Amino acid sequence: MEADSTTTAPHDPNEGFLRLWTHHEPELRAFVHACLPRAAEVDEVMQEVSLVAWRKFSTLTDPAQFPRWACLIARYEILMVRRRFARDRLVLDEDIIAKLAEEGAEEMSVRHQQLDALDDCIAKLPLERRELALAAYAPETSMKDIAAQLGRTEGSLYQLLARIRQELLRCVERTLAQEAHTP
Amino acid sequence: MTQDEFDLLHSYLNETLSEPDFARLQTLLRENVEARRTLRSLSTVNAKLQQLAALNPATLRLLTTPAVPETRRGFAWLSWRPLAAAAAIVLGMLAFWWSLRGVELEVVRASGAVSGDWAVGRKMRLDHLTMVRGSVQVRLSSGVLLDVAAPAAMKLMDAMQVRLLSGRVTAVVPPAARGFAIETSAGRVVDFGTRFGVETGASDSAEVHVFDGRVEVTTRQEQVVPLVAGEAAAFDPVRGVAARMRANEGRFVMATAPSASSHLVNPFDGATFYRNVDYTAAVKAAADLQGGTLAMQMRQVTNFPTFVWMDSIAAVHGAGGYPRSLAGHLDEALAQGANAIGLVIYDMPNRDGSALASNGELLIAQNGLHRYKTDYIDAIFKTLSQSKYAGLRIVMVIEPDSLPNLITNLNFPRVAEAHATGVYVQGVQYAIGTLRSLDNTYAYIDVAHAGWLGWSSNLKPFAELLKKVGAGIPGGNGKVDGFISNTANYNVFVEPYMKADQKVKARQVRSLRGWYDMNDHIEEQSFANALRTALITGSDAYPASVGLLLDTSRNGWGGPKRPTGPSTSIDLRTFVTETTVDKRTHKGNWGNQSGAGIGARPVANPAPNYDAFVWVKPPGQSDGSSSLVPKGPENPEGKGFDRMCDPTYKGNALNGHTRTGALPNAPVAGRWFQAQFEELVRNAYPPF
Repeated sequence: MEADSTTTAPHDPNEGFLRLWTHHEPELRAFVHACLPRAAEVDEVMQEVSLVAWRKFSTLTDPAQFPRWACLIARYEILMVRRRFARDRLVLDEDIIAKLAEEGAEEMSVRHQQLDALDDCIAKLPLERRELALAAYAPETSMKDIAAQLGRTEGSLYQLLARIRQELLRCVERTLAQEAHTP
Repeated sequence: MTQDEFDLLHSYLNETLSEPDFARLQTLLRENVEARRTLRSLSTVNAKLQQLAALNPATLRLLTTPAVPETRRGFAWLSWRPLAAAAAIVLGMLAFWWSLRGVELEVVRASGAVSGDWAVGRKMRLDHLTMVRGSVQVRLSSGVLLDVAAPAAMKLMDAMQVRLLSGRVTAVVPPAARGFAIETSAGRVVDFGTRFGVETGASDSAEVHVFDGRVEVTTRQEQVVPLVAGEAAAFDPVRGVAARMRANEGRFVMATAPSASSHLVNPFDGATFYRNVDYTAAVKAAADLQGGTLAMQMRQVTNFPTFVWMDSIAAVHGAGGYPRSLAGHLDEALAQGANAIGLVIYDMPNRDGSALASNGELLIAQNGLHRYKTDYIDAIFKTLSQSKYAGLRIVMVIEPDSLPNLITNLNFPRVAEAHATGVYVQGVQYAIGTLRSLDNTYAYIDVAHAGWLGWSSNLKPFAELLKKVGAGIPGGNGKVDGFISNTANYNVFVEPYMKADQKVKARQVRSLRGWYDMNDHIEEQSFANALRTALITGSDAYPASVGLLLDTSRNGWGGPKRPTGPSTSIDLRTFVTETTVDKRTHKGNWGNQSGAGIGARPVANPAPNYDAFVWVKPPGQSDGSSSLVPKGPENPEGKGFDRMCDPTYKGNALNGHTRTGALPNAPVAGRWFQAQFEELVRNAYPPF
C-alpha cells in the first residue's frame, strides 16, 4: 500500500527544514533585529540559528511550532552574541534583551502580518522616499555616500529615514487594524 | 509614546545615540512594554527595507554612480551577502536557502537607466521587483513574459502569480501558463491565454486592458468580470467595476513581436541540458566495472547530456521495465537546475520498416496511427504541457528514419504500407503540430545521413517530401525548428584530409565504388547544408531560421587507426581507405560498429547553420543484438534480430554485400553494451 503523503514526513528532512526556514526567515530576522540592531550581530546570530536549527531539526515534532522553536534558539544565540559585544557602547543590557526576545517570541504571527503589510505600504510611499529608503538600506552603500550624492547632511537623512520608518509603521498599523475589522 | 521617546528608538536603530541618551533608552525599554513593542515593530520595518534592498538590484538606481563603501564607523547598513557567503562555507546545504528565496526569472530585455544588474540573459531569484528607472522584460519559469516600466513595484508570489503593488505591467502568457494571475488591491486578474496590461496606483484602483485573448477579473465583491481583446475596465475596491473603456495598448510597455513569444531561434544558446540520471548511473557502473585510466575517461562521459528516447508508449509512462517516466525525467531535469532536455519521439506505426532490431510496437494495420496519436503523442503532450515544465526548453528529434525510408526503402512491405497509407507523413505532421503547440518545445526532423540520402537522386525527392510534410503541419512549417542528421549513426562531420571532388589519378574521391559510389556528399556538413538550402528555397520553403543538428555521439573514429594526414597513394581505393577517418567497411553499415569512438562533445553553434552538436544516441546502448535473442528476460519487449548487427553476416544490397562490421555479443537494441562502450570511449575523438 502506498504511504499517504499527507500524513508522513517529507522524504528529505533537509527539504522540510529549508522550506520552513525560507518561509519564516524574514520574521525571524526581524525578531533578531529588534534585539540587536547592528548588521554584523544580526548576521552572526542568523547564521548560528540556521546551523543550530538545522542540526536540531529532527527534534521538532510539530512544524507549526517552527517559528517559536526557532525564536528560542535565536534568543539563546542573541544573548551569547550580546555577551561577546557587552563592552561595546550601545549594547542593551541582558535583562532588556531577554524581555525583548521573550515578548517577541509571542508576536511571531504579528511579525509575519507586519512584513506582508509592508509590501503595500512601501509601494505606496512617494517615489522619492521609496528610492531613498531602498538606497539607504542597499548593501554596500553608506549614508555618507548618499548624503554626498544628494547634497544633504547625514543628520538630515537620518531624520528623513526615521520619518519614513514611522510613516511605514503607521501604515502597517492602519492596514492590520482594517484587516482586523474586515469580516 | 511621546515623539521624544520615538526619537530615542530611531536614534538607537540608526546607531547615532549619545551615551546619556542610550542610558535613557535603556530605562525606557526596561520599564515600558509599549516602547519594547514599538522597537520590535520599527525593527521589522528596518528588516523589510533591508530585505527589499538586498534582493532587488533595481532598487539601487538612486545613485547615479555606485557608492564606494567606506569603513563603516559605528553605523553599518545591514548586508546579507556576508552571511550568504559564510553559510556557503560553513555548510553547503544551508547555502541553498539563499538560492531558494524568491521566484526565478530571466532578463529578456532591459532599457532605460537600468544597470548591468539587468543584463539580458541574467537569471536571478527575486521575491519583489521594484523598478525606479527604465523598463525590463523578464520571463518567469512558467514562460510568462512580464514587461515592467518604472515606477512600479510587485511582489512575485510564484511563477504563476504576482501581486502588483503599484505601476503598470504587461503580461504575455503562453498556452502552457494559462491561469496566470495578477493580483491588485481592487481585484484578481486571471488569464485565459492572452496578452494584457494591468495598472494600479496609490488609490487602490486598478485598470485592466486586454490586447489578445481573454481574462477574468474577480473583484473584491467576488464579482467575475470577463474581458476580451480590445476591452478594458477600471476597478476599485469598493464598487468593483468603476468604468468600461477600450483597451489602450499605447499606455503599456509592450512586448515587441520577436520577444512576445518565449520561443527561441536556437534553444541551445545558453542552455543547460538535462543529464539522464539512468544513463549516468549506467556509465558509472560501467566505469566501476572497468577500473583504471579507461574508467576515469568513461566517467567523463557523464559530464555531457544525452537525449531520452521515448521509443514506446510504456516509455512515456515509465512502465514495462523503463526505469522512469517522461514526467520523471522532466522532474529530474528541474531538480538538476537544467533549463533544457532532449527527447527522441520514436514510436511511429510500422516504425523503421526496413530494419528489425528497432522496429516498433504499433502497426498501421492494427489501428496504429490512431494509437500513435492518442496513446503516444497526446500522452507526451499532456505531460509536457504541465505548467511546471514551461521553463524547460524541450528539444525533440522527430521520428528517426521514418521519412527517409519513404525515399529508398519502399521495397520493404511495412514501408510500402506506410507510403500507401500516408501514415509516416501524417504521423510526423501530427506529432509536430501537437507537441509544437507549446511555446517551449522545439522540433528537429530526422533527415538520415549523407551515406543514405546524399545522392541528388535521393536528396531532391527527400527535400520535396519534407516540404510537403511541412506544409501540412498544423500551424505551418514554421513549427519546424530544424533538421538533424546522423541520428544514432557513425558518419563524420567532415573528412579532414580529402574532398569529395578531389581527384586521384583523374578519378574523383566520391567515385570510389563500394564506398562513396558517386555520392555528392561524403560528409555530414555538406549533405545537411545542401538539404537545408533546398528546403529554404523554392515553393513551400521553410523559414531560413531553421537550424541543423548533428548527432556526434559515435562519429569520433579516433584511436590508433585514425589517419593523421592524407594518403600518398595514387590508387584511389588505397588513397581513400588510408585517408578516410571512417573505418567502417561500408557506409551502409549501422550496427554496433567496430572501431568507432565518441565524437565531438555537445556544443551550441559549432558551425554556420548548425544550432548544435548533440548526443542523441547514448553511447554504450546497443543498436541491436548480434544474434537472435528470444523474448524473455534479456529481451522483454521481443525486439527483432537484424542481421546488420551480426558480425558473421555477409551483408545485402543495402551495404554492398559486405561484412557488417558489427561487434559480437551485442544485447538487444537499447540495452547496455559494455564492450562497445569501452571501444567508444577508447576511440573517442577528440580523446577524453
